[in-house]
Amino acid sequence: MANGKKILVVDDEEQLALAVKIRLQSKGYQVTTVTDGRQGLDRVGKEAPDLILLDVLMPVMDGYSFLRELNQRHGRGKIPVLVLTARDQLKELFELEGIEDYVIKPFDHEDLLVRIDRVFQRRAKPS
Amino acid sequence: MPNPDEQLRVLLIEDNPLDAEAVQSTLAKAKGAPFSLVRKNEVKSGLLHLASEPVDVVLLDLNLPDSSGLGTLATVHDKAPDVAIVVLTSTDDEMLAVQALEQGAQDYLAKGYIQVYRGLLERAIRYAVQRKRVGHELARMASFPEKNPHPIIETDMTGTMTYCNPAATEKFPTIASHELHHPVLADLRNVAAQLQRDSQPDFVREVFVDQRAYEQHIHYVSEHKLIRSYLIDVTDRKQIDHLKDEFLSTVSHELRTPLATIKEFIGIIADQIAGPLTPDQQQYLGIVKANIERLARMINELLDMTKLESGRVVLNKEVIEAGSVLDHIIESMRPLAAAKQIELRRDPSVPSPTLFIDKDKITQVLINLVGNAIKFTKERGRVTLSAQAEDREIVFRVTDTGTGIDPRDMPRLFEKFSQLRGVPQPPGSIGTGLGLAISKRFVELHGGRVWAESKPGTGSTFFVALPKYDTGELFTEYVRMGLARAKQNKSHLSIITLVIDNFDDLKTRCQPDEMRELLGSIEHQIREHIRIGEGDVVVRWHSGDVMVVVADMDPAGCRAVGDRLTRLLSGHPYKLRHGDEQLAVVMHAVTFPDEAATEEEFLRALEQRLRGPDRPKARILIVDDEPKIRQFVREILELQNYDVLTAASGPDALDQLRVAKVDLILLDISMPVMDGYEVYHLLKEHPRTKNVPVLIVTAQGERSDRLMGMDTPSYNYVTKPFEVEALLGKIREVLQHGHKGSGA
Repeated sequence: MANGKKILVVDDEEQLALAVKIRLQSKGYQVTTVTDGRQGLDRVGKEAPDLILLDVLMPVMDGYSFLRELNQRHGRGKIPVLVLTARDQLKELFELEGIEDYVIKPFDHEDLLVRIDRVFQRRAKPS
Repeated sequence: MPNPDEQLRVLLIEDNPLDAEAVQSTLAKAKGAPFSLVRKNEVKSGLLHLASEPVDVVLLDLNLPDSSGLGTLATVHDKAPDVAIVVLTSTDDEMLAVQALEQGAQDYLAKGYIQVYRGLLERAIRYAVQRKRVGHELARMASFPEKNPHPIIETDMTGTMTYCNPAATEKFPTIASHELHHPVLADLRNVAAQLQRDSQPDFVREVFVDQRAYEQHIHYVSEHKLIRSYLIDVTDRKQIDHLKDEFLSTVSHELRTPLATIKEFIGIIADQIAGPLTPDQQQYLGIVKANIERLARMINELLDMTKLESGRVVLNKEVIEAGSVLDHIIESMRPLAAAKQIELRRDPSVPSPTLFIDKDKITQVLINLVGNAIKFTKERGRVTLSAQAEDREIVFRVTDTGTGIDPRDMPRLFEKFSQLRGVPQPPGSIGTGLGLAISKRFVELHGGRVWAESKPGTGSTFFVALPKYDTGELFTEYVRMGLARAKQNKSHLSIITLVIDNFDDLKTRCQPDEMRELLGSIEHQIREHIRIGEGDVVVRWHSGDVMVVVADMDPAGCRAVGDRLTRLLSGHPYKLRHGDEQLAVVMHAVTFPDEAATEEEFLRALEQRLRGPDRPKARILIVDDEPKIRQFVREILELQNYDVLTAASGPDALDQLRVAKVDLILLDISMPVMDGYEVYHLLKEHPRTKNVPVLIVTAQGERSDRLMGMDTPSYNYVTKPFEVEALLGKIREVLQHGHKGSGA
């Protein structure tokens, strides 16, 4: 079980983010959603999430700028980031460091849950 | 053609009564009265007549009371441009005659001859009328290219322009001065040579001039030995096509986002996260879900068709077992079949061939066929799937016990928007009519074919045949394909090679089955990490290396992926029976075109990185009494970078083996003096050679029972004549797994 791990969803697709939130909450995660990278960074500062679900194309501050800032402020890979992306933007992801995994949109919630679970399992291992 | 019975209306303009009389009497004598004649004395009255009466031909004296010389001709020709004119001259003046012909007369005649040769006048009249008509026709024909709004250009066989119509001059103002360098003329000579060689009638290409796109239809006109090009401006059409594509792509994208939201929330309600549901509510939500799926499928089909029609579909091929594709399809279609109590199964009798396909696309094709099969099969029917390797193809079959297809529908079955006639479609199941058309195109993109056979009332079988690939060619073709794609898109192709450096060490400490398991898990881990769209994993386990093909990624991105994979593999210990093992992974990356500009360079770089500088080469001894075979095998093995020794007989081989250490012996069975069996047993007796793997070479049809008697597992022999790839594969296999049959 997810024992109250905190997940931050950064996605401008508000309603879809809400669906993700409800799904994740039903699995026992604590979920906050914001609609752009700027708000995302503010949130990270306030509540130190255990995982970030990050959309790439967003207004105000996109996923790339968000990641750069996040890496600078909090250290690369400190908080695991799972990117939500369209298939044709995949290759650009690899120019970014500190991504834990990604999910291709439109995604299946089963796939998303499995990948989130896997991130936490990996992090749980003593390194 | 003038009608022979028709009377020609002749107007004679002649002031001299004697000359006029000569003409009149000559024409009057002509048989069957073919001419009607009117005479005028001067130009003025002649023109009056021409203006009021129809005339076929004017016999014109140039020197008249009111006009003289060529001016007379000019006046008459100007006023009656459609009437034939024969100039009557008083003397045999060639100069004047030629000038008259140039200025619009059709013929001329010296008056002195009229009565001498009676037929001459008649001939001249008929000839002039005929010539005038041909002239008309020519002018009419010439107006086709001349007035054609599309550019038309003719060149000779060297590509030099010999004609262009006004539209061409207008649209390509520099065409005359640019000569062979003008885009429209460029390379025409080669195109023509090819058309001539292939005896093809035409060739269509696209050229760009002043930011407009033209379709150039090039014809080789063999009877005139010239090249004719018709150019059609397709700029607007292309722009519209582009807009249409963009529109459809945007629309379907915009449709998909709300659909995804709907789907997610319906899922949340159906899974009772938002509260408990009554059985009725659950059932209705099931219907909603099914229809969301249908809508999603239709949007995807529209998008697919748009992409297919604009040629923007690129295949992401990978190596995959047909069985796993079929299992996946059966798995995902089972609920649909179960709802109608249809038995859906895979024909297990045939072994599953390996495919080299775009898995997503072929899966989509087969799901479409299975979906149709279920749709048109009655409850408690049967749908069977199979895949079978045939001569040059791998053939999938989807067989149902359904309603069958009306023979009249067969020809149009795979066309766009064709719905079947005579078959009642289950309510709510009518699709876009694109499914089969898309399937056909996907299969054809693979170089395959699709067809159907059916007996109405009994059932149908749909066939999908895909070309078979030789495993040896596979990788090279795979890389070539990637390179072609990279060139076309002006992008990159990167290949990451991961070499497990301590592979040989591990091998000595592991059982073969354990080793296989380890390699399998490594491969699985990488595949998990690399997903389609991003790259492919190609495994060549001949000595512990994996290749990861990453399309369209620059060197930096490619190394980032490589680093991630290296960390993934070497970051943790693997639990094995004898204890934990850590992998030593060496990563190399090569990117086209950054690090290798040509295909050969790329493949060579790849090969070099795989081999590594200090990897010891395997040494192979070839034992064969035939010099040609020894030479042939030596060459192919050396190309693979093996170290090769040869022996011409059994004793020769044993002699060499007293000093030389080899990793593998390739042993021919039928040799004089000492045959292969004997050599084999001697090798197995000697402690120095008994653990060296031996690959037995037999001719096709040789008795194999003796081989069995030698306790050799079946994979340790090959048959002549050699199939190079099979031989190399076997050698790699034996070198990797060692010699199981040695009894050691």
